[in-house]
This record gives sequence, structure tokens and C-alpha cells, in this order.
Amino acid sequence: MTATLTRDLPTTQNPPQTTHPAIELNGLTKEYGDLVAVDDLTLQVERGGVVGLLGPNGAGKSTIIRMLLGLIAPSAGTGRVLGDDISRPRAYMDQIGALVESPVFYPKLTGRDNLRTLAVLAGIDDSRIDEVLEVVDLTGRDRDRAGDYSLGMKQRLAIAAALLKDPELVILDEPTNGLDPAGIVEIRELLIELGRAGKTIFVSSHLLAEIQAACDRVVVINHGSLVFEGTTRALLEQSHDELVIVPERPDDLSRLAAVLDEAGIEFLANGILLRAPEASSQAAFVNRLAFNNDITLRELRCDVEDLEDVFLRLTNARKAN
Amino acid sequence: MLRTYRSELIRFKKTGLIGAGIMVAFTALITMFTFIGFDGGDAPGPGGGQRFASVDLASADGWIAGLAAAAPMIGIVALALFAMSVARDYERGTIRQLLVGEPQRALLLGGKLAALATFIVAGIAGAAVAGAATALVFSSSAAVSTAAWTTGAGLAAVASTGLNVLVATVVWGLAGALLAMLTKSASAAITAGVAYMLIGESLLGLVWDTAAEWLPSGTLTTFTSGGSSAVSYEQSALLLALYAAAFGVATFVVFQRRDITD
Repeated sequence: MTATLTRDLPTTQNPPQTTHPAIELNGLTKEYGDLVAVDDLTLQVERGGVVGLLGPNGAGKSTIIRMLLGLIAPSAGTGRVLGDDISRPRAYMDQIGALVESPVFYPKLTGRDNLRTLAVLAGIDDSRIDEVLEVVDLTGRDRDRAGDYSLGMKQRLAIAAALLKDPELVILDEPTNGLDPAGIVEIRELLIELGRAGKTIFVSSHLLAEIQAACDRVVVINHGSLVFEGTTRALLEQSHDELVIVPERPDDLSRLAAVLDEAGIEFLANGILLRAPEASSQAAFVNRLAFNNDITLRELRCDVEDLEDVFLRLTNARKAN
Repeated sequence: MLRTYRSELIRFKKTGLIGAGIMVAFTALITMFTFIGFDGGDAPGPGGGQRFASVDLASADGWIAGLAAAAPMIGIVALALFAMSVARDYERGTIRQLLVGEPQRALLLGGKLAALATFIVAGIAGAAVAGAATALVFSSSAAVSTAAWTTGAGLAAVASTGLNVLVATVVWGLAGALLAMLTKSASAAITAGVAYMLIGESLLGLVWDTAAEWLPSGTLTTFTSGGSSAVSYEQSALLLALYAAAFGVATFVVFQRRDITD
């Protein structure tokens, strides 16, 4: 699939010359009775690149996406997509491709005919159907009924549908759901390629590794509120580390604790080991201290939070608030 | 709206054509039963019901009488078709995809209803031909003259009956669309619509004598029959126009205002 990307994707190499961000939300709120699905959300997504929307189930990701697409109306706040107000989706929808939640098609129509109905609806020439089918590697199966497709194939077809308009902004809700590992890699490469081609890809996912691998920037939400917004690197820089110190003999634990205490290193005792938060840089020092005090260490390692740990910590912290 | 119309034609082609085919089959069948005892004069039929006299078949509207008789069944098919087309997009979630393609909801719904109306027109045209062909077979087998069919009065009867059935069928379709929009379920909408059509209004008639004169099903029957002793054709047409407007506007308003959470 990758080989066909550069041929089939639009040739735009630079982001469009415009001052409008791809997405701009200001105090956006959606309430269902007492339930606040999206709570006073303010964020800005600049154009170009792949932006991840992260959040646990029920965080409000799909609600945000639906509001961006004009499928549901906000209870309060404002939003703009490509510079146009979300209350008038027709103004920008011809530049948007989207996959909302699960891929849905008319099961008795072929994959090609499903795309044809959407192409006709959007006023797109039929020739574009062949291009997007090739991009998602469905060319040989396009005349099969969509109802006979595997979930992975439906997902590809949905992505093909999202790309039909050659959109400026592609909004994808869990695009790798149901794909096998090879399919996940292909979709990831496709998203990266699209981002490099100047498109803005706004993709929600619960697969943190995917977000980490594909996205330049990340928006993390929980309970409808913004938890983090920034580059993926900046999110990872929020990761905490700790030094795990395990003496060879459990009897040495109390003595080791006394030595660390005397050296001013904060730690937590946990059974047969000590954990020293944010002390990874002091590993060599701790090793020397132990050696100088005739304590042999069985284990001395640095544990660094990965994206998942950071995500869980951020969202749990938010829940606690 | 032309784009949504064309898109819906592709999407609903198979179901729409099946629906039109059912209309044709119903009409042929009902025409057959209508004329099966046409030469029985004024004598009651085998079940004690009314028989059509041969003069009916020979009259100017003889070749379209089957379509008129089949109108309620055609109405049920239309109600089901509209309900299925509207509700299934909610049931499957394809409504999301459609609105990404055409965010102007009024245009999307307008195109959809126009496409459905096209299938209805095709179905009624086919039904009229099937009814006429069946009537022709009966007339030739009974040596009944069909000379009146092609007179000016005969052609006028075809036009007026065809138009009446078409209007009535579209109103049933709009009722189906509204029920589907409210329930977001094809089966619930069809069940509610057909139950009301076949039973509900009759029950209301038991407690309210004049109900049949102005409730939808009774109005539709009066309209397709060209009026009744209590309600003139013009009055029923006006009432029907009000029902059509109410069903149509309510469907549009619900669709326009509702969040798409499916």
C-alpha cells in the first residue's frame, strides 16, 4: 500500500497559506441532561500534520468529533473548522473527510457502489474512486458486497470514503479498530504520509502506541475536559521516572535506606526494594554509595513512564480533581 | 438536492424497485379479485361481498378500477419504503456518513424523499399498467366492450385516478418517513403505521363517529374514491394537503433539530 501513496496522494507539499487554524474550539460544551460530555473545551489545532485525540472511553472524543462535523449541536461555546463556524458545517464540509466511530456502509452494495453513492453525494468524479481504492489497497475487492467485507476491509473502505473529497482536514475516529498489525502499520504510514502532504489529520484513538508513532501533536481529554495539549514529545517529557534499588540480601535493606537517607535521596520502601522517584540521574551515585557501604545491589534500574503511564496518570489525576 | 437525489437512487435502487414490484403485483392481484366475478351483476359474491357488474368493466374507468382498489395496499408499501429508507440510515449509522457528504439536512432529506417518490411514481405507473392489462384480459375473456376506455372520459379517469393514488401514496410515504424519524427504527415505524392504518383508526371510529371523515386513513380513502356523501373531494384534498404538510414539516423539523448520536 505504501508504494502507491505518493502517486495517489495530492501533491501539496506546503500547508495552505492561511491564518485560520484547522480546528479552533472556545469553551465548547455539550450537555445531555445532567451529563456533561464535553466541558468548556478550549483548544486550537494548527494546520498540517497528524494530531492525536486521546482519551479513555467516555471521555468525550466522539462527541467532540460529532460537533466538529455538525452532527450534534453544542450546548455552549463556539467552534471553528478551517475558519468557519461549526454551526454552519456546509461552509467547510466539502474540505472535510471523516470516519465517525465504526465504519458503516450499505451491506448489499459493493464497496465501489458505496463509494459511488458518497462521491455522487459530494459531487466528486467517479475517477477519484479508483484512486482512493488503490490508496487503501481494496482495488481487487471493490466489486464485492460491503456486507461480506471483514472489519479490517470495512475500516479501509471507510478511510477510502474519508479521502474521497481529497480533503484539507481528515477526521478519523479510531481508524485502526479491527485491523491486524500489518494493517495498523499501513494505516499509520498512510496518516503520516497525508500529514506530510500538508493535510491535517485529526485522529482519535485509544491505542497509545499508535498515537505515539503517528502523531506530531496530541490532545488529551478526560471527562470532556482538556488535560493536555502539545507535541507528543512534550507529553512524553511529562513522564516521571524512578530509580529502583534492590539489595542482594534483604537484610541490607534497612542499612541501604539509612545510607540513602543520609545522602539526602528521597525514597519509598516497598518490601524488598526501594523506589527513589525522579532519581534516575543519580544511579551511578547510588551504586557507589552502596558499594562504599559494603552493600551489593542485585538490581539497579531506571523505570521511565511510557505514554500509557503518562496518559493514565494524567487522566486519573483529572478524575481525582 | 440533485446530488442527494441521485445518490439515494443508487443506494435505494434495489429496495425501491422491489417495493415498486410489490405495488405492481398487488395491483394485478387486486384487479384480478375485483373482476373475478364481474359478470355476476348485482348478485353478491361467494363470500357475500359486492361483485362488480360487467358495466363497471365496460365503463370509462374500468381499466383503472384495479389501481383504485389497490390504493390502500400501495399506500402500505409506500409507508414501508419511506420508513425503511429513513430509519435504516439511523439503524446502520449511515446517517453520519450521509451528513458528512451533505451537511445541509433539508437538502439531504429532500433528495431522499424525492428519490423515494420516484420509486413510488414508477411503482404506480407499473401498477396502473398491470391493472389495465389484467382488466383487459378479463374483458376479452368475457367479451366486454372496452371502447369507453380510450375515450376522453376514459383517459381523464386514468389521469385523475392515477394522480389521486399517487398523492395518497406519497402522503402515506410521508407518514412513514415521520414515524421512522421519530422511532429511528424501520420495524417500529412500519408496525405503528400499518397498525394505525388497519386497526387504529377503526377503533377511533368506534368512539368518535365522525373520525373517519377527517382522520388520515379515512381522508385518504375519501380522496381516492373521489369524495363521499359526508366529505367532498375538494374537502378531502384540502385535508390531505394539510396532513401532507404536517407530516413533511414535522419530519424536516425533527431531522433538522435532532443530534445525530447514532
